[in-house]
Amino acid sequence: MIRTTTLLASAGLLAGALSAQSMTERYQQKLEKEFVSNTAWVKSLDTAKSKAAKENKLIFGYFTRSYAP
Amino acid sequence: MEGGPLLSKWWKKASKDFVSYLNIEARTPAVPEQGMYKEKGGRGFPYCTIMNAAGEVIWEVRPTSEAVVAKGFANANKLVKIQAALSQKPDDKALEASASLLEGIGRSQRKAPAMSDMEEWGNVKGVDKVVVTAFNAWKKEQKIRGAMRRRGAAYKLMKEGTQPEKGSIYALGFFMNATRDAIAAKDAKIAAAALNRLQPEWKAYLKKNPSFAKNPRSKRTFDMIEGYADQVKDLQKKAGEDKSADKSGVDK
Repeated sequence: MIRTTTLLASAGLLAGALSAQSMTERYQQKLEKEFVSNTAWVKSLDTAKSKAAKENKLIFGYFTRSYAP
Repeated sequence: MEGGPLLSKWWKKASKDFVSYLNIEARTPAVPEQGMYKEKGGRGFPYCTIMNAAGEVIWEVRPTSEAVVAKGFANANKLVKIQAALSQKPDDKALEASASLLEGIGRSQRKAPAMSDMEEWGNVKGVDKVVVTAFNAWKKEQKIRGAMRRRGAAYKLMKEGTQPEKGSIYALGFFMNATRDAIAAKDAKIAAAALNRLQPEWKAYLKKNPSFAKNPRSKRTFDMIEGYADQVKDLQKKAGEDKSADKSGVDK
């Protein structure tokens, strides 16, 4: 019983770790897309806010995802 | 979006006029600023916003074309100015109504105010005329958007004299539905009018999306429009009208 529980817990942890790795990989793949390099994107909102205040501009915020197509 | 407008030359040029902020929801704590799209009011991806320098969302706009982006930023800048004036005169009811009204029409994913409230703000004495014009255009767009979901509604709107402007994102679908439904209603006049708007919108769509021409759906759409053109001609013949739909206007 204890052995089964330990095995299941280990499998769960492993799946979680693999899943996190896969999510990071997908994020990296998203960063490699052409639309990212085509625009001078700022990836920190604080930096965007400072830049907008300094240059008296508005911010265009583009929210997308990498975990799914 | 990412394979189209955000790769375009006009977008690259336009983006020099604002700060472009990219947030990628990655479902991993390894990536910073996760969950922000929800905090900002997003309910689906991509969520496209215009924010002020404090990072507050003041407008929502999908950058589908240069004109749409320009209009979105013009409205957002107008809102910033009205809000600044209101902060100087907090008791000014006209400024308050103008700000609330403009703020309301800039919402697409965030919950919009009740239409009754918006109508009321639009009727406040001294409310900004440009904002009222934008509100009226927005109301028309909502009507057209709503009509896209109901069979027969586009035809009904056309009969009432309401139709999308040239190049509107709803134009192609609207006139496709209106033509189909006018043919079904055997209304030669509206069918011909809808077809005459549909043909150039289809041409413009193909010009804007050249890769779509290779898609099998493109051929199906072409065949459908050509079929409509034949049916409109038959209807006109039966109705004894001499106007004929210009089949040569249909483009593959």
